[in-house]
Amino acid sequence: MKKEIAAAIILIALFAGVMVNIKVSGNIILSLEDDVTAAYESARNGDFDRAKPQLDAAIEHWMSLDGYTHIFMRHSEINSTTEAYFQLKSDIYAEDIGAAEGSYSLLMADLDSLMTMEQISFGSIF
Amino acid sequence: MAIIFIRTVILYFAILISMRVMGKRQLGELEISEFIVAALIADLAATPLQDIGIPLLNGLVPIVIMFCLEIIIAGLNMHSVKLRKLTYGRPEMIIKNGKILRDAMLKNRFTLDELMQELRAQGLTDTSQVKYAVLETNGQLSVILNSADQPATAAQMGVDGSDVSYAHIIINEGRILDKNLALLGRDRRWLTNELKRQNVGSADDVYILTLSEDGSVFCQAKEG
Repeated sequence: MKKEIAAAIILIALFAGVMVNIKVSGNIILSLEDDVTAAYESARNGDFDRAKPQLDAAIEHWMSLDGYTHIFMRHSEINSTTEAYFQLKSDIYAEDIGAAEGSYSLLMADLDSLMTMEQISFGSIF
Repeated sequence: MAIIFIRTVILYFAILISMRVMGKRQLGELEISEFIVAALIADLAATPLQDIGIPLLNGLVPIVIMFCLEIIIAGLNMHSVKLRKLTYGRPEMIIKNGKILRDAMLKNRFTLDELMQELRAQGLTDTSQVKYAVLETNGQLSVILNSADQPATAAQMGVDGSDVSYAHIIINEGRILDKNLALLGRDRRWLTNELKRQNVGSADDVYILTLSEDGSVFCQAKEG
């Protein structure tokens, strides 16, 4: 019976860990989205001098999470998000707000996808 | 490549521990739930091994979950007959008094060819020799012969056969197993005398030495 109790405890601990991870990953993604949105808003207001360092900081923030993301997320998703970050950087440094709008939407969609992938929903399960 | 190496080592031990804890039965006689675990674990382990873009946790976590579920289900099955029937099914009689039960055969999708194959594997060619044949929950066919067709036992033949005695290994390739020695109430002094009796210089020269519970000794020296 000890074995079964230990197995049940491990299962409960794993489930708790998964729930904590959902919360942690949700918070991380929301903070990343805030960084990107702040940079994009500055660019949309024509303040590219402010948008550029803001976006650089946002990219640095994303890169600093490497240890977490590579353990919990598929590497293909991480690569796709990183590419979207640098596409937005390229458009903002070119001061092309039209192109930046598209790359901003792409990056936000990638970040949303990272978050929804971990959320428990009918869609994510099936 | 280094990542694949490390991942392989980790997954190998994860599967080894899972299978070991689930028990030896896993290796030969799989029940349905055990088969599910065995089949899925192999596949789950292979995916992150082949693709280093998939986090190792994606393979390890499901293995741990299935291992825990199997332990819990197996434990509950020990206490509940109903659950046991639900998860493992129940043994089904296929032959009764030499007559093949067609309904049971159909229910278990067991063909005549398969039945004959199983019987041949047990050295039987004639179903009339079979008193009962039971299809066990792990898919094995247990066969009980008619009394007239069963091999005679020593007792039936009136032969006084001595009981088999279990032999413990005392020296394994020169290494003395003190635990087994103590188990049989002997010590190193007895072993030294026994080696002298066997004309062997020391334990290092012995390939295997066994001692049975009835006191008989088998000794084979190393060659060359």
